[in-house]
Amino acid sequence: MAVDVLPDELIVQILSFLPAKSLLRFQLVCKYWLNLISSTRFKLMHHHNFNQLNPRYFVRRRLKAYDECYDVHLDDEAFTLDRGTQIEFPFDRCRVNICYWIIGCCNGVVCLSDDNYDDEYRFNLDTIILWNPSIRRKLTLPMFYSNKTFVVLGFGYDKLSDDYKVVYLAYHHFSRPRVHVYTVKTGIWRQVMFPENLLCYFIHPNRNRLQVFFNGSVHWMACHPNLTVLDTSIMTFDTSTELFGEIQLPDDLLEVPTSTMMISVVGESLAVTYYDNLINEAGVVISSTYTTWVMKEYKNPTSWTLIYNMHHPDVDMGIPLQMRNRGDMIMKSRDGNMILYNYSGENREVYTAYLDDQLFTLDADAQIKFPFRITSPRMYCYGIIGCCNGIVCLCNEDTTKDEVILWNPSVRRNVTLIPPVFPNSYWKDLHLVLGFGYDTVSDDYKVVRVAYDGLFFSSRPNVEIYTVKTAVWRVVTFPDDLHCFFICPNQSQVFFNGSVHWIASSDPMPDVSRYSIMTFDMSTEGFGEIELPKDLPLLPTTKVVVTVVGEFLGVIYTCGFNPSWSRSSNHVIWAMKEYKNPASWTIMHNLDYPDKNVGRVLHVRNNGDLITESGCGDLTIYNRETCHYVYTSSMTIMLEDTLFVDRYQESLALLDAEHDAVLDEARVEEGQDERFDDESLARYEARYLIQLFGE
Amino acid sequence: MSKKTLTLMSKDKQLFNIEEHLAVQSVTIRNMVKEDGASSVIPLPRVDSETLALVIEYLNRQQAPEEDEDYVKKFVDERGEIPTLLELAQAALDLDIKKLMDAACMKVADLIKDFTLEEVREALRIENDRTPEEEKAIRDEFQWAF
Repeated sequence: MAVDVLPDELIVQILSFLPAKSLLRFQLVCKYWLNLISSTRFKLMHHHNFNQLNPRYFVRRRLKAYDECYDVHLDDEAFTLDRGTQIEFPFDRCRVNICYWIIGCCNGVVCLSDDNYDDEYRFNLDTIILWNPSIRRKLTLPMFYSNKTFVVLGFGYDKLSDDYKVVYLAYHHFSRPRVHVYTVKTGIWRQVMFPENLLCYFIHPNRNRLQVFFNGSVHWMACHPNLTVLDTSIMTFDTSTELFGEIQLPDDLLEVPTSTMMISVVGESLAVTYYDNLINEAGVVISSTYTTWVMKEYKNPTSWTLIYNMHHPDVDMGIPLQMRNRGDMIMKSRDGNMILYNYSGENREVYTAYLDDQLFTLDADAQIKFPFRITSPRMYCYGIIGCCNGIVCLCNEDTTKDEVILWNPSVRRNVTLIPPVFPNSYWKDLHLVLGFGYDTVSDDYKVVRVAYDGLFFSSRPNVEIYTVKTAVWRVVTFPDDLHCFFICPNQSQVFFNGSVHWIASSDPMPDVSRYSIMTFDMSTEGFGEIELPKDLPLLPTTKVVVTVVGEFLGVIYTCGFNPSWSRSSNHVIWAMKEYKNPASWTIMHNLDYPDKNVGRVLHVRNNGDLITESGCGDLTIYNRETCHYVYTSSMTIMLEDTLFVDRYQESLALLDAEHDAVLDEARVEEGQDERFDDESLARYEARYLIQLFGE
Repeated sequence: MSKKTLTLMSKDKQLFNIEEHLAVQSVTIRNMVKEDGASSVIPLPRVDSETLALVIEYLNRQQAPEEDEDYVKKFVDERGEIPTLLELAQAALDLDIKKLMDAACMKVADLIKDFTLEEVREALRIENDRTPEEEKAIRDEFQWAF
């Protein structure tokens, strides 16, 4: 056997097929290898060779609260998890959102941003990060101040200058964006002209699939700034020439809103998928249609070819995330799971489903219908407003409460309500109460939304109603003569006898003696008031909960709840024997537990058992007589709407990007724009009041 | 028309015959044939006879083009020893047979990817010219990769 030194060409070839993790180690083999591995030429060759061999996808899911989970999946038949590539998320949890937005994924570098929009699309861009998960390097971009209503980002790689570029489009209302480009090599933002002749330049700040990087350009779905003009096209930004351009869509999609389209890359072509859901009068999706076109010849609109036209007459397939090279569609179902659909043949489809659990196991028998589990991904960030005739009303609690969903778990269908008339925002700071019920007269589900101004606490709220049949929000006047009109926060409603019931107070300060029950009749759409039982003295610490006891409206007076040090608890359960007659309040159960704090009482079962939430969040059922718990369930809480899928290519990029420049000063500058004057001080105080009141 | 045959000679002076139309898959041989008709024996001073036999076996394959990829993969898989693969890759490099070289290199990469540094140096016949200090700096930086 020869001990000759191997030719360099051979070494380079062998190394170019190695994963980045091995290369990082092998830098130590010898000096030549170290220089080789950090050279640009090798990086390009490695990027080409390694990824050709290992086509993969980058997946981000969100499982438990505050756990962002990033994985790489092989692009094989079963879309298996690549256990060899373990991605460690190296960042602090983002400050504004529940997780980072992923702008794009290109040559092994992921572009993340943390920002928020309010309802007027006022925008706070907090952070932009470039991250190479294969070698665990990240680069935080410096931020600058610009006057804008919102920002659209694009991310790509310029082959000519061997550089990554982030393009920053700052929109001020509907005017043409001001554009800045950041390149990793220079480390600065530079202004770039936006052309005057582009008609479709408005990119909806929708967070799902914003951009795709393909053929050296970033692509976005753009529409005419006058949203009444239905004109849509693909806007492009060439990362080499830094010029903007436009690609015409297939004729069938010219007048389709951008929000129902997804742009992606299928095989070697740019592709557009249009998805359309048909919603029945109950508001559930009853059928879904997906059509995908590919542009066989880049920038030639006559080459758009329809490759998939899938119509599912009775299934809600969800929202497409990515189209795989082999023609499968990766989808997000309405309950936040990732599903992979296999299209074999034009009409027959076979699909495999993945449960969005910790191990991302293949759900062998799942045929789109997922088992209904209590560990639904909705449970954490969605608050449950109410449950009525088999429909659950959920709202997104983590930001503005403006996202309301009606969900039928037994048929696994749901509908998201359109935004309300009085939207919430971080600036307005509305205090919101939602109610959900069913109107037997019009055979319709209704959501009532009561919005209190966070600043002028004592003013009467703005009220609006959504009915599923009309599918619009309608403003309703709030009566002037209602004495107790301030609905206590952080408590659940009760739908009973055609009306929604809340505990309300005549004073925004927490004073139990001023409580009564506020009602809203779903048929007449009128507000009313019911007195609470007065026979029992109410202590300031008494917790009042409205509920249904057997066939009656009921209330629970709980003493001893809340202070976690309390070792005892007392629960008096009242029932109103005759509806709306306060004289008929009767004590049904008086449960005195001298040595047990059962936690927050959620509900009373007909037999008097208490269903409670313990301090650590477990659901517990206590037997009325023995005070022993009969059932307890720890909920694994998961979050939804954070699923992201994109092609993932490993690379050695950012290996030498040492500078991690976080310019906190820039952030402060932006903060100063919002004056910290008396007004914001007052708002701060009002917020403090709500907090007090909430307890 | 009778098929023309070429003769290849290995480092240890062994002779191998191969039909010309198969041999010209090697760009090196193709260029030599073009230049001087290659009437005489083609010497391959860096390729030993065992490796040349393998190369000839590969060149003589009778695969349909669509199965070719799988065949190359299987061909190198069956010779899963790193020294053999390196010889094969080197021969393929000299003879400029791209597919074979890529496949052999890929296989080597796959075999060494979890090797320790010492194992890599041994397998790829490399001398360690790094000082312990230099080594430590990189080890500290990418500790997770080791």
